[in-house]
Amino acid sequence: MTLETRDDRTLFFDMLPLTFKADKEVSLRIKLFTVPGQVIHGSTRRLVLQGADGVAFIADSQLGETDANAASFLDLRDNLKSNGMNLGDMPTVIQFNKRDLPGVRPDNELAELARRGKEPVFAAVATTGQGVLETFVGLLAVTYAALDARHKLADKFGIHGVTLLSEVAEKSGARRSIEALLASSLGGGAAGTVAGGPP
Amino acid sequence: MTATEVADYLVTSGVPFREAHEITGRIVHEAIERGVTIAELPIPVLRGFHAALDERVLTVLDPEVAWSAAACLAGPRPRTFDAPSSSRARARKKALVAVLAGAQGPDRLVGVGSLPVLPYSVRALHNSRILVQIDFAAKELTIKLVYYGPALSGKTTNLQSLTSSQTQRLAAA
Repeated sequence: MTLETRDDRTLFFDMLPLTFKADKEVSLRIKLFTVPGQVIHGSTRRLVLQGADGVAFIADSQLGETDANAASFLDLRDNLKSNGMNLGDMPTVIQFNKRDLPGVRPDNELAELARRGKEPVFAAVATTGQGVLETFVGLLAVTYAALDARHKLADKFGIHGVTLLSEVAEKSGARRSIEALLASSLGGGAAGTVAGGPP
Repeated sequence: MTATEVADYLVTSGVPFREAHEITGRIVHEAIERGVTIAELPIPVLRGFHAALDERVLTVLDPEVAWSAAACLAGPRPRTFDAPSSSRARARKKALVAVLAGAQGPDRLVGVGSLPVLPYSVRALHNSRILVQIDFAAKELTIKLVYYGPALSGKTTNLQSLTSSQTQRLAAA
């Protein structure tokens, strides 16, 4: 559901509900939200962030957007803080979008950023769908791993993390295995996040 | 913005909230495809989405009517919000509350007299500590994921791309 937009800008937010059946018994509902990026919509961003289990930070790869990316990341940290949450505890992935445009931060710099930070980093061209599913599955993987650690989902639900993620990926149109999707993060940082996988 | 009114209308017509939500989503898509507002969609088209969507729905498609209707129910009341500047802004704010509450609140419909109470839970908006929603009885897990980032970085495009890859998969199946 996309609420009214103008000039490609999100006025409020978008919400995409997805429902999956895993093991024929457990159902997983995923609610995807976007926030409006404009500075003035701070209160809406705080509202949308409430109760979030995981965050995908979509950065614009163009060098000219570096400051806007940084400001938005600080804004994310501050809004989480005012909601009583800590960015360090929030499962997060980063996507560098618009890789097809000229004047973007080069791949090796992104790889360096990925090495330095703990969040998995994905490169994407969202307009063609490249990297979109990888980012989504990566986000779901880190989020699920955190939830599983906190709520012992494997014990209480009998959900196997890999099975669940594979199911979601397949139903979302993935043509590659969950491991391959996760390994496509820069430096392969997301590959180790699958909950319940063999050590 | 009247998507929420359509969803509310369906719920008051006896459609489960979950279903009403999905139907409304498809209607919004249709309106976007045609480049019109939901109120401008012909009634036969609306009825195609659900039989309950007949001429009466027009009464809820007016934001002003919608707002006063919400004030009668145990939904968000105008005084909950800081002086909205226009009926448009109020309708938007209401849509925000509804979707967020729908995302976090129970899909429950409780009747008071003849007036159904919509599953709004404004309190949920103030409770920042609600994390994952787990319904052990129904074995249902609800995860909320947020796409964040600077203006025009492609957050909505990400979601649209995910939707279309799902659609393609369904078409191929």
